[in-house]
Amino acid sequence: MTQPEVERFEEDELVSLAGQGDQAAFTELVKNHQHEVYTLAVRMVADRELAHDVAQESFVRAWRAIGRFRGDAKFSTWMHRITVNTAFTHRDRRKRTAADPLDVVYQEPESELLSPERGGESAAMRGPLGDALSALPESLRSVVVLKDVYEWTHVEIAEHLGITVTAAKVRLHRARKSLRLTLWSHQNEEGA
Amino acid sequence: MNARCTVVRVRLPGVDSVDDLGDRLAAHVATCLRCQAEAARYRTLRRRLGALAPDQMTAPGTLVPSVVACIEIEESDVPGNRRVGLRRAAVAVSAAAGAAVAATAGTIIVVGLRRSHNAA
Repeated sequence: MTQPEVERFEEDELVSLAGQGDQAAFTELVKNHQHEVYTLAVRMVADRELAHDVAQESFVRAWRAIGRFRGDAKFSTWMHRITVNTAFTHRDRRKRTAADPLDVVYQEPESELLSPERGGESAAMRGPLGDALSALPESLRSVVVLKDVYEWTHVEIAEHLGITVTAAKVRLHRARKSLRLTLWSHQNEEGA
Repeated sequence: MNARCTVVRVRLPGVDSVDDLGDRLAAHVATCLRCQAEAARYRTLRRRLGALAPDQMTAPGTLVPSVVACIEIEESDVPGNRRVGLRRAAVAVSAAAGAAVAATAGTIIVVGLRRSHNAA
């Protein structure tokens, strides 16, 4: 067996054991996938503290549901879907509590929340592209991240975000156009 | 910039390849340096976004312990809730049994009193 096959076999074993209630096996899965789940959470919510909560809740949800995980998809794919759903649950909660005017007054710009000085982390969301992504409205950022970074289809995006396929395409169009204008601002659309 | 350039500019952000623009517009791009430059920008953008996928952040060291703690609390809560449920059920059964015993005793006393009253 090749190394990826060995890893897949080991992961299948861990998933199977976790499905039977083995907490140690599930903890191994959490350790193996913590960075990718956290990264996806940061890309979805553009806030490191909130991303920690999203990642934590995603794993807890996965623990509750792992007995029903049939293994049709890879565990990581399944975790990605749970993470996206959890991120949207948190976004909705945040929207409900955002009515407090103090939250609005003291809200930091998202680009600052993701500035390298504050995180000291990898280049996953750094640099001009990371800044441009984090400056996008959440509704546009989530679509372009899922489509162009994680290669989800429009249908998958629409299902998970609770929007139509047309709306997903429109948001992708707007997101890419906004990123293009930000990243090549010195070269306007007229091609000057 | 002609009308086709404008249409290409409008449609480029929504497609994954110049070929998706259709034969006429794709043929136009093949002959228009400005449209080629614009298409190249979007191609670069998609490539750079795709390159982010394997680039992972390091999760905070608190993530795994907090997940483990949440699961342990949840798991310890489940039998705890069952115990509480059983305790409540036991209390309810005891109360019902006590009430039945009291009612029976009350009935016996009342019947006894009536008999003694009738006998007198």
